[in-house]
Amino acid sequence: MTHHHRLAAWLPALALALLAPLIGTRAAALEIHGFGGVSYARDHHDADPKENNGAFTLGALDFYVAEPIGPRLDVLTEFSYEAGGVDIERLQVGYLFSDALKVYAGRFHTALGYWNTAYHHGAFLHLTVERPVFLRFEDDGGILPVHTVGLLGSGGHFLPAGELSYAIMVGNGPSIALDNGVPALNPNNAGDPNKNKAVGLHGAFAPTGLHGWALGASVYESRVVSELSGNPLDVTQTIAGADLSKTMGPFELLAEYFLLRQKNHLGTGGSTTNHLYYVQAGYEFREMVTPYARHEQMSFEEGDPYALALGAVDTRIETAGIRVRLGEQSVLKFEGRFVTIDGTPHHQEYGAQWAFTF
Amino acid sequence: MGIHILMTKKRLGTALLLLAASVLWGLFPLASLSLASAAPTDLIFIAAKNFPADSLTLDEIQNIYLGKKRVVGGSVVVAVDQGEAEPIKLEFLDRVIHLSHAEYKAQLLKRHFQEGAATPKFEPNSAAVLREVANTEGAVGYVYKSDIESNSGVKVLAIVPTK
Repeated sequence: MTHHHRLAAWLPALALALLAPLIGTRAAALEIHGFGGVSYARDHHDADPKENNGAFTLGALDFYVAEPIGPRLDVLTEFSYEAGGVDIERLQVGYLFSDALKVYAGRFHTALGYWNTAYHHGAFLHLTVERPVFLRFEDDGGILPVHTVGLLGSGGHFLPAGELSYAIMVGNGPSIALDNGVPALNPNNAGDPNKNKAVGLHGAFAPTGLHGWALGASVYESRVVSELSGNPLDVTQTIAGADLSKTMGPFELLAEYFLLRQKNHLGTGGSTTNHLYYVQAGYEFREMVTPYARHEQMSFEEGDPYALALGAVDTRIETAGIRVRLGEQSVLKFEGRFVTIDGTPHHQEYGAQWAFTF
Repeated sequence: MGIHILMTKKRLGTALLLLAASVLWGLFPLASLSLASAAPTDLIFIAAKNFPADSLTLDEIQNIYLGKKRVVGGSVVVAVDQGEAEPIKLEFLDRVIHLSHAEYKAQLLKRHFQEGAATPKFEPNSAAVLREVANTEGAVGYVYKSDIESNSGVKVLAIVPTK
């Protein structure tokens, strides 16, 4: 995360204060879960062999605690220990009114598409080593606002034909600021540089007759400004998305598409439209070995001010790999990625990851 | 008017089809709730005497255990599950959840990570499930018919015949 929301002492203190009733009275029942992993990655540049290098990487060590603090109240906190420090990923308190409405306040995963809310830091949960490039975290070159601080309502309704679910949110809109010297999205944990709040809605339908399938749609709007001097940005950003998922049974399919439209409020104005998508499929044999493949692409309209501010460029990545289960709480993944930048083959990446949950 | 009547009949037909489909999909209890007619190895879904519903459908039970359904009759429901080593657990996964043990655990992990405290409470055996259900407001559990004694302090919500 950016330096603005790097954990200071008060954030864990706040989390502990929320969990204090549990720690004091139900210490034995408090369960800490999490995800972690160790990776090895090697880049291969045909044009510049000096760039070829391989390295071991400690993935983020992610801890989360989700506990009821009343019959209808619960608290979820998620911390991530990374090379650069400790981030608070989520801190949300929720009240369950009914199956149709649960209200959360705090910092949560933005209701955008499938991957962002289903997997997030849980590398153990997804097939591949890496997330799709445009769904990376804000401090890792991500271009979508994957975290929001504000209010979230979600729920579901069961029909004979299937299950309808939704998530609706309002929160601080992101801005662009320096993070370790690099322009990055800042979710604005403790303020908002403008009066326009980010709003978003995701809806999904899971048909009864198609076990494990779900079709969803998202819409999100926010005003994004840049805090960087000499690199002004003021756009109204609209994101419209569609997602298709099949996640139960041996065959897994994920496909997401986002249309990212920027309406420029500076200079001559105008608007630009960008397209981001991925399709990923895998098949698990004997509940153990899963070969998988993914195609992902992000294409930016010439002169898009948001992409320019974040340094994002047209990227296409083809991924192929294999995942092997080692018991119920650990997986090994091996994959190759072929990266094309601005229409030209750029480099290949080869990686392995040992991911686990506890 | 003729068109209106035609539309109404069409809707009635659709409603009847949906009703038939609902029964087939388990939206209504598939077995009578008479314990006397149940076989000793039938799965019996139970709740405390003051549970706000007198019966649950198989779909409702599946959604409760997968954490999708949290409220029954206006009250928060607590799913009580059996320990992994119990044979009854495999019967339950096969007959009700329709997932393998690994898939069930993966679904619970995803739900817990995504939404927080909405996953079942695990008890080591049927005796512990009976105690927990009888003493916990809103708790739902399952045991074999042969595990239930007349003074168990629970009521039957659904009976699922085993193979």
